[in-house]
Amino acid sequence: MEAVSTGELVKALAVISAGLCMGIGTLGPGIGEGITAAKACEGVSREPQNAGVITRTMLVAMAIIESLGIYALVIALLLIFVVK
Amino acid sequence: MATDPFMAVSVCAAAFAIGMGAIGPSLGIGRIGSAALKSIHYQPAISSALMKNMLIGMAVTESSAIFALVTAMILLFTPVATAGWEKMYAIAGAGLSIGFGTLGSGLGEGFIASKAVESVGRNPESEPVITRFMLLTQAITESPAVFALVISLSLLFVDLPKSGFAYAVSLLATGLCMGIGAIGPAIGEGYAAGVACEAVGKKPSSFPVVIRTLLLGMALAESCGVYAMVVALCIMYFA
Repeated sequence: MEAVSTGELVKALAVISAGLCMGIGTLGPGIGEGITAAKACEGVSREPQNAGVITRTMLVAMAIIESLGIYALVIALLLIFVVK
Repeated sequence: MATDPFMAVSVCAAAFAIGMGAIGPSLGIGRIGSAALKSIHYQPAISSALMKNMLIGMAVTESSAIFALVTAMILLFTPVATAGWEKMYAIAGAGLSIGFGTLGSGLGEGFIASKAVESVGRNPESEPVITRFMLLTQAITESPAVFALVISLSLLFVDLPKSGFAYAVSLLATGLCMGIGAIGPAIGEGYAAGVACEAVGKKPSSFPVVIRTLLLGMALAESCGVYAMVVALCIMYFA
């Protein structure tokens, strides 16, 4: 195989790290949001009259967990589109 | 024996696809079986209903492994038309995508069905509600594996417009991104739905409220899987 220029090598490594970044970056938020939703459903089932408060608390927690997934998304998109 | 390099990569990718792709579903199905056996031990009188639920749950969990098997067959038996050497990386990416992608769905759906079987054992009179709940939530938990399958098939069958080393590596990165990105959301959704299934089994009257909260939570967990698919498609088409 002919030698690869440095520019191509940088681009190739940037793209593979973008893939790994987003791929591994969904592990934490996915599992965390699942556990949150599980406990919220359990609480709602036990006390349906408190469903509003429980759902609201769950959504606040989900937003914070989601932000970590968004960090990974932002870095991945930066790696794809901004690295030259 | 053929000596073309595409076949060499296809063979390795097929092996990885079904080898890795069978892990998640098998673990899930094993979990369902053990939950069913435990429930039958405690409640031998309703063993036929428990076995029915167990078999339905196992069949749905199996479907992720079938995706991996179908992809492996396509990799083995579809000849590659004239294409550049970048196609080898696309084939490798396809194998990685579906190989990793079924892990989460298999585990998640297995957890849901195991909790469903336990709930039927504890509350046999709410069996219709539980079965319906189980099937609905298993279908939603399947979706990350479907994303992985879509990325695999598009890597195999879509024409590759560009060329060069960076583009070839980007095809590999597409597969990695979607494959690993399908694991976490599916496990999370499966865990949420399993615990909710147990709760609905104990109190079938809470089905509407629980399903509303659960679908909200599952949609949010799914969003991370969608991010992975979006990044995978961006890498494939724009990098």
